Amino acid sequence: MASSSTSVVVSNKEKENKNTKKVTLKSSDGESFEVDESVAMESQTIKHIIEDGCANNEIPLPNVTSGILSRVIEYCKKHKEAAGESEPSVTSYTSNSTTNPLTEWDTEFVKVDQNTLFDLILAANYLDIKGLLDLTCKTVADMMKGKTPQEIRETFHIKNDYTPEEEAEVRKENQWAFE
Amino acid sequence: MEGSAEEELERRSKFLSSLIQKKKAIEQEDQHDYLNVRVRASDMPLALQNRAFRCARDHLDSMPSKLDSKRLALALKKAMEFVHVKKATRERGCAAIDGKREVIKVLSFYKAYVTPLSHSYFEFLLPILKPTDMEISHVVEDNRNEDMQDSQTLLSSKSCVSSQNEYTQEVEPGPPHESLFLVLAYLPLFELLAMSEVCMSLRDAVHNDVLLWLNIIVERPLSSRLSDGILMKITSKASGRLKTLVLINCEKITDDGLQLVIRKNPHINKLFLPECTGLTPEGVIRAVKTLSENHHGLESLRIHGIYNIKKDHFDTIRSYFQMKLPQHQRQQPILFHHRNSPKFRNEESNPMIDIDVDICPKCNNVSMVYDCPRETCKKKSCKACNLCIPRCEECGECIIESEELEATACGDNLCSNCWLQLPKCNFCNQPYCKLHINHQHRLSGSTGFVCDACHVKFVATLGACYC
Repeated sequence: MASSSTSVVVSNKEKENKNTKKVTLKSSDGESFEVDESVAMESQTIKHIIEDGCANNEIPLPNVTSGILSRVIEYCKKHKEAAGESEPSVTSYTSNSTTNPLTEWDTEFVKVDQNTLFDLILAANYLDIKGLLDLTCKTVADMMKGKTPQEIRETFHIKNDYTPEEEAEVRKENQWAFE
Repeated sequence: MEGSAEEELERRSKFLSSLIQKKKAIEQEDQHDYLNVRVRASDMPLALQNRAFRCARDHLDSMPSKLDSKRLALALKKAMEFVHVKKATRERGCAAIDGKREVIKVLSFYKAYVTPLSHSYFEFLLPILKPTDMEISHVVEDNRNEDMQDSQTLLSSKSCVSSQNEYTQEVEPGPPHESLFLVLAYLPLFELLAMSEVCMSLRDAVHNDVLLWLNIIVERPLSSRLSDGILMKITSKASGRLKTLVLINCEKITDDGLQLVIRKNPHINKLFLPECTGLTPEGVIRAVKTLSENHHGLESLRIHGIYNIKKDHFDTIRSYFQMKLPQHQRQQPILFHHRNSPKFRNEESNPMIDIDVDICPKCNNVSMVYDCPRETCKKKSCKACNLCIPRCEECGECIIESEELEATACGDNLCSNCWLQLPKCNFCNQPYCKLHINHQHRLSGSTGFVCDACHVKFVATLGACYC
């Protein structure tokens, strides 16, 4: 029994030593973040930069501020860990989505103010991180569920720039949906 | 030699005018350097520009360290007041000045001030801004006759546009945030139509982007309002490339209507028609046949809730699917308690399940057949439709006959374990299953909830004591 437990310990250590390759990401406001390469590769954009051999010193990300970048890195780390731990087929049929710990973490992750959420969407799009983009966009989509156009304007502070004639026209077109 | 004299004259005048231009340009540059300004794009005449810059510079210099965009904007507005403005036209957002159209926009640090017109400029500007004090690119001309709200004079600073949350947010309405355009792809039909009514830029995005119309999801509250004609109109936006069509409980859709859509869009690979009671099994078979004729593109089909599907209908449909996949893939079992999760309903359907219904081994009817998650049942074939083997709503395990069925407020079946775990009504001690949790009536001043029936019986009639 003792021998088997030590062998497990050794293999874990080996794993740790392997993944020490790091990359540095620089946000638009000059802050640098050092992350594992595997975590950074969650972003397809960064993955291509690294694979093309252009990532010598730091990878500048002019469209992402430090606040947002730190959150994105948090997301990538968490999801990389989770992917490493569970079996290849993450959607095993016995696991209920509501008890999946990652779903809970995700739900907490998107409990932020609207502007941060929007910035996360833009960052996920720029960095090409599908999971984060899906998560954030779906969150905003849920915020819109069942709302009328006026309610949407109020929620997202959008100005109505329709002329009265155009508005009447578009309302007529969609009349069937809102009766 | 008149010809050469003329030429000479022309040459000289050209030379002179180019000299003047150069001088002007140099002056302009000097001016800009002096004021520390970088112009990205402008349609303004030079004199106006310089005036704007000088005014802005003065104000910046006089202001304390923190940049107050709004004040600056108002100051600029005042400075430009001498410009005679005619009524602004909506689309262009520009003003007719002395018969000419001059558009002046200045982009702000606060995204809220960016007009829909400058949306395209926005993307243009997103890359790193040069570290200058002030960057004046465009200023939206205001209409003096209208109120202040329309005036959108803005300034941008060197920070990237996305760091705006560090500054206090003014919650004035403005054009939609860029990310909303990305979210459009995740909206079902109802919300998509609502968005198109919100403002013009969103409407343009919704109408012009084919990608948004390739996956159509129609659910409540649109389901009962969708008719054949409207369905045809909506699917035509996909220009024949429709990929998924999800119609949940769309009662008005008929076989012919569906067939027309399918004929025009032969590449559909997900066809969900649960509870579309206007359809008949023959119609479904026709649709599946059409889709499998072309490229066998159809991958998943949902038809539970359609009336009168019999065994032979099902066998025919099954055969079309089998033509596509020669391999004998044992599909993943359908679990009872997953049936209401979004994953199963319309979003990412379990790729292993091609058809949701099956033939119940016990009663031989066509309906949704579930497997049992209970450990002991995995060995046996505890697989049947809901009517043959009652299951717990929460965990999906079969309810053993010997156990007493506990009463629930919503009438669904629950096994004793799940029953114990759920919160109960304060009066009758019956729980709601998670699906019906919104029927709970919360009372202020006490924990827990009251179920619908008890609420009617006790609370509503008693009235005033409870809120």
